[in-house]
Amino acid sequence: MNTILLQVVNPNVNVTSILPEVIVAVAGTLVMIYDCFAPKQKIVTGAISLVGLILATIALFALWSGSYDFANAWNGMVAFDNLRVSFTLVMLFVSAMTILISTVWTEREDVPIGEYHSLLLFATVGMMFMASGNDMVILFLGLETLSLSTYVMAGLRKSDLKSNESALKYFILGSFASAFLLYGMALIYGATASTNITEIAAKIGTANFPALLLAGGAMLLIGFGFKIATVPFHVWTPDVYEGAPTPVTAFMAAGPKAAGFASFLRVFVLGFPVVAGATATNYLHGSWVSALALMAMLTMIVGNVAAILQNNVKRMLAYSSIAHAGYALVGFVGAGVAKTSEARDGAINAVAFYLLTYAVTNLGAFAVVTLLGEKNDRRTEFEDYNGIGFKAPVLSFTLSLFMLSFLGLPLTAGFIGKILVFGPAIQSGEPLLTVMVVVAVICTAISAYYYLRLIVVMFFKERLTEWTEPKIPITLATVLIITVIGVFGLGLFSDRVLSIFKTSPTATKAQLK
Amino acid sequence: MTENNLLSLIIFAPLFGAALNWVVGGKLKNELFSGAVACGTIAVSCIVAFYIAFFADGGAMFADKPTLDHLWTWIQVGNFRADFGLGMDHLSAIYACFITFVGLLIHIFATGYMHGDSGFYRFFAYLNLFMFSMLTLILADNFLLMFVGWEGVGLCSYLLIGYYIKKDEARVAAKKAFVANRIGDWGVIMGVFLLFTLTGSISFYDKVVDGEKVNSALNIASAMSADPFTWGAIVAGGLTSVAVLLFIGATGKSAQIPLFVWLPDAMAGPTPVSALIHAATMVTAGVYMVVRCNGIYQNAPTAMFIVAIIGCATAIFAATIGLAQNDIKKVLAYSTVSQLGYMFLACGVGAFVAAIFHVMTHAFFKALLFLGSGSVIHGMHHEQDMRKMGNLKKYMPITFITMMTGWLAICGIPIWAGFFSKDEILYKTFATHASASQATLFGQPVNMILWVFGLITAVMTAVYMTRMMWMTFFGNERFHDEADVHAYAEHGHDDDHVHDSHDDDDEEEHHHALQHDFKPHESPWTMTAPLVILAVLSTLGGLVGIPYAMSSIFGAGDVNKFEHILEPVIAKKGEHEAEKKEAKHFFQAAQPAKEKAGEHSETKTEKAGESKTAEHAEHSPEEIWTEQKLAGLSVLLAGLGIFIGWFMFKDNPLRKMPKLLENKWYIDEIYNKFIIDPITNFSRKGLWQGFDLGVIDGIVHGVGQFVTAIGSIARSFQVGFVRSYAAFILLGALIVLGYFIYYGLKLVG
Amino acid sequence: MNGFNLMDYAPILVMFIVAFGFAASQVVVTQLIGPKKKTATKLMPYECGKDPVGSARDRFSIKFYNVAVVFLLFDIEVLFMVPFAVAFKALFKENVTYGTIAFVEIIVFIATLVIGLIYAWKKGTFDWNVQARAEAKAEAKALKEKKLQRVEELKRGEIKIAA
Repeated sequence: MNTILLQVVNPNVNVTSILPEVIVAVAGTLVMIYDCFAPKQKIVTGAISLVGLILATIALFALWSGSYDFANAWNGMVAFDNLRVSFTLVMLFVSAMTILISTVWTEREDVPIGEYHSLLLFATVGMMFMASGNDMVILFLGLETLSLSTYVMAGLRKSDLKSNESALKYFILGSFASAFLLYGMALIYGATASTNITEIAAKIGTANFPALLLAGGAMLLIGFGFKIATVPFHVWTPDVYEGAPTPVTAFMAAGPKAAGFASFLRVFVLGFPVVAGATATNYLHGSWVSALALMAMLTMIVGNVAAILQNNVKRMLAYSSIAHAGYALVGFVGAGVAKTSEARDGAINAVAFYLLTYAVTNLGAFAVVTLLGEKNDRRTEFEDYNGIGFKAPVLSFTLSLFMLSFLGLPLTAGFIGKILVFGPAIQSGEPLLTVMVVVAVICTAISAYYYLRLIVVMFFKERLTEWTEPKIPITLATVLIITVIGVFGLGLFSDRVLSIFKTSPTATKAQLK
Repeated sequence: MTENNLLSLIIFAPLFGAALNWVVGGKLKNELFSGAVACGTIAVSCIVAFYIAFFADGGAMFADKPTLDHLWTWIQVGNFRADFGLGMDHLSAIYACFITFVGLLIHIFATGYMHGDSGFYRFFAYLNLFMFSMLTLILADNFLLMFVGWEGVGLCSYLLIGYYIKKDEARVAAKKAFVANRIGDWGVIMGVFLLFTLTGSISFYDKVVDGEKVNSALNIASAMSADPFTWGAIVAGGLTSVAVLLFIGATGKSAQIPLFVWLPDAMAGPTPVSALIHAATMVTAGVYMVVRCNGIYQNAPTAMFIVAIIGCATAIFAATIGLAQNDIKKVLAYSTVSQLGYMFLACGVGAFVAAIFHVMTHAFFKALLFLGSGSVIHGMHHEQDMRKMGNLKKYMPITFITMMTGWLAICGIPIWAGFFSKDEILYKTFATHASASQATLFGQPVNMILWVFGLITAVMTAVYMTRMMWMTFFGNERFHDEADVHAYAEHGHDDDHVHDSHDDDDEEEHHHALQHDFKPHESPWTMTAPLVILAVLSTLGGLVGIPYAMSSIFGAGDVNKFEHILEPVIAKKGEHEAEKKEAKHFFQAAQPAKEKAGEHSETKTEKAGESKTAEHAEHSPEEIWTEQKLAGLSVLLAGLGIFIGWFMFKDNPLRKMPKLLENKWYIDEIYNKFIIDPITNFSRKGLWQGFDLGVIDGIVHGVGQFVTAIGSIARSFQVGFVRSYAAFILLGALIVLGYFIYYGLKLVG
Repeated sequence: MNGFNLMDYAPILVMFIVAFGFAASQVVVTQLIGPKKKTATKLMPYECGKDPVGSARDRFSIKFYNVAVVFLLFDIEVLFMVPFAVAFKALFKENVTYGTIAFVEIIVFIATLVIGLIYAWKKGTFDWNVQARAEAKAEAKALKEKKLQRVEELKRGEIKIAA
């Protein structure tokens, strides 16, 4: 009876290695507690959240400086490479901007502000773990933390049917997708007897049950595909994005998408490499690369074509976010086919950079949409933007700028982002990938229609109803300034940002040997 | 390589001024503030420019290496590299100094001229922005950044020509200027592309950035072998093609045939703008570019030939039109076109130094003339028609005297600046060994024909300038003769009088029918002070570049500072041949094409302790004698022109001029009929109704319907039921699984 | 994992037996020894305090769900403590540092739970407050009236209770 063997291993608790995550989690808890003791406050929780996010960013940069070696922290469950740090930076940025954007909305809609902020921070913790987890279990935990928070956030406007519908749909379909993901993880574990990505990559060539790899890979692809909303797993996106409160939509389109990409990249690009001589592994690699290439093309086409048909700006932006996920996937596939680890890291950085440019542009656009909206998120139809161009020049010019950045006009962030993600795929020279890039370019041309349409509507349509320019509060002004600077800064000084991304922490090399 | 970060201050000070005027000035609406900001920032630029040019690190104007300021790397893709970097070598230094200085004077003038205008801050914001662009253009250390400045000045020119937005004339003129410039810009950018493919670089200077060596495209081009002197070379894609493409840009920016039509119309802008942009600075950008690329041009004899021909043709052509204009600014505008023609003629015959010399002196005296005309217009309550003026010397003595100096300068009377530079150009045309001297026409070398045309132009310049001076300042007072003027106005040249018909709705011009008790008045000191300074410069400015042939008359040594300063900028092509040929006589036509024309006979070095004998070897007595003879001829011709002008117009200032000339050879009509109308018709009938409505819209609508059809199919999935979404996801999942299992089956089987 | 011994799993079997036995015994014993006063309410099918007959769209307090969710959370999280307790001993035996770390971690875990509890408390999850009580009273009254009506109907024999 008493022969239970406990294999004791070094727990290797290293709080420093997850300090940014810890800071954000503590900030979230603080916000929660503060809120329940002072439910009437308006700005304190926001301030705490911002401070937490800034501290986390500082901690992140400290880790980034490369003076730490976390090769074995948490027994390898936590990664420490440029994939993690660059994506984490994107996420922290998105959260901070979302908090600033939401101020108008929280006041207008009378939402429980403390709850909102704590949910946002917990979602951020989840996202960060999706980037930092080097173990499927951690990834899944991060994903669920994120998902549960966002489900609630989507339904924060409790008295609004659309918001409720959005939350419920997101919840049901999200659970559905999580099931696929979990099953995929189980199958991969079955094949390789490990949940650690590094170990999986090492063992994948000599898997116990090679066939399981393929099924598991497919399941994972489906699960992650849902999270980043690729066609055909995108169907939830328009309804959810339209129904959710506008700032939450901004957040969901930028943050969780980046987090999904981070995990997706880690599992597939780092976890399922090509192994010489291992047929099953190479089948897995070949099929996920080609499947993703096809999905990327479909995603771009469907996202752009559907966006053309929309009459609601939020819904248009939702489809546009689908399309942009497609563009980012182009870089993803490029990372998948990279021959050297430098090229692979370069492509991963390109995807991170692309998502950063998308986040900056997207948050800026949503900031304007939020401000122009009215209670219950009305006034988001295209015709509500008729002729406001010269009545609210600041807002409409910045919004136009964001549209141009979405479109990828030179000098803006979107242009450099697109160049960077298309690069690796075109360099591989494989026919399928070349076709994919061609489709991407054509889709970019198509997208001009609906992005420019908004500009046309704003500046060249007559306005029939009375309208006065809303006052721009200081928080939104901050967001607009940061995002406008971001759009130009990333467009002009992409080198500098990329060189920051490139400075990978020292532990990377040790870990990825 | 000297680094000096102050360099960026030269360009950013005006930019800051523009921003400040736009953001703060627009709110304050205070003329003192706007004026102070605008003039102050230009003053900063000016001081810094002079400091760097003359003092910092020994002075950029004298140093061996250019002063550079690398701000950031703008684009780096593959081996293509464009920096946001500035550089000041001798050429840029000269340009920067006179642009900032003349610019400063004109800014000060404008504070007086624009007084009371409702868009005061806007005007100065544009003007500062222009200075920023212009300085970027000349200080850029690579073609791409230069092109940014190039486009920037085009934009500012557009904004400032159309400054009186309520005047139709101004709007149309602005559009015309912009379109003509865009045609030229095409040439520039294509030329730069081609140059990059040929040399692999777009930088002007050899430099080291971030530890990486960047080669100068110009040096590489200069070291290449010369293209043959054939028409085919133009389309061969070599340096000749580059040079011709760049020259197309120059014709747009510097108003040469065939793209000169915009410049006279551009006079619809405020007069300080005409002085700054359309006389002194922006229009000389084309000359700057050609001289900057002299390494390319010297290897492209065909292009040199074209430049010379176009320059000369423009010079004489514009002069004929200038003879018959009645609007004081139009006369000056055509005069500018004509003088620019001279500059290109100089470039075309290889006298790059003379071209820049003329650019500088022209900037002084033409700015002076324009500002003087501005002062006249101001004094006349915005009347620009010379037929309504007369005897203004009585009312505006300072303006009169200063304009007299400008008049003497442009006519080419010795001592005044224009004499030295124009004479230099004519002499170099006469004595050139460049490609123009190898072709013959009517049995004469082409350069001789060019020279003759140049001389005729000089005469005509004197004639029309005398006419202008006479009509404005002498004779009887005509500003009350309403009926008389209207009689003239009906003579079918309404073009010149468009402002008459638009005065009703024109608040900015303050122009009303002149009262009977109207008296012209002298302008305030802010306007006359710049005039006086420019008058001094027009008088003395030429002394920095006195050719040896002149100075030797008075026993002075080689005092041609200007040429020595610019010499290192001009590529030393075929220096050895030059030395060999030195003994030979000038007029032997068949000189090698590579010859560095006009340069070789004069100084080759600038070493301080040069001996007298060496000097004499460079200035052979025959050449000096020839040059002196020719100079004498020029003076005679200028005198002749002034006499003709005086004789023709002293009694009859309103003498009717040939209608052909008054209507500018009907060039605008010809352009309209043969170029613009066909394009419009083709665009309307063919492209719009046929192609766009028929084909494109057909396709677009087809695509639209197709997309809508797809959309409605997609919409049937997007019904809003969670169950159908789940089903859709499941379907997708099954497809993905199937795809993977297909490989799985292969594995098993 | 050689030496597979089915007997190792005997405790699980015992646990199953005990669990089933307990459940079964509860049902049987209450049937046997409980007092049997049959009222109309008691005879109704049990449905968590709701009226089983009537409109399905009847509204009732969300607080039921709140309590249920909070209960589930704390219930499940307590489960974590069992494996911890088992592993804790072994960890301490192996290395004192490991044991300390484990101890600190479980403290953090419990502290987090406590924070959650405080939050739920402050948010009023456990407070069926005055309004709620009033609502409950009103509901009870309505229910009573309905029941009386039903009793009347029963007496009049308009409806019948099955068996």
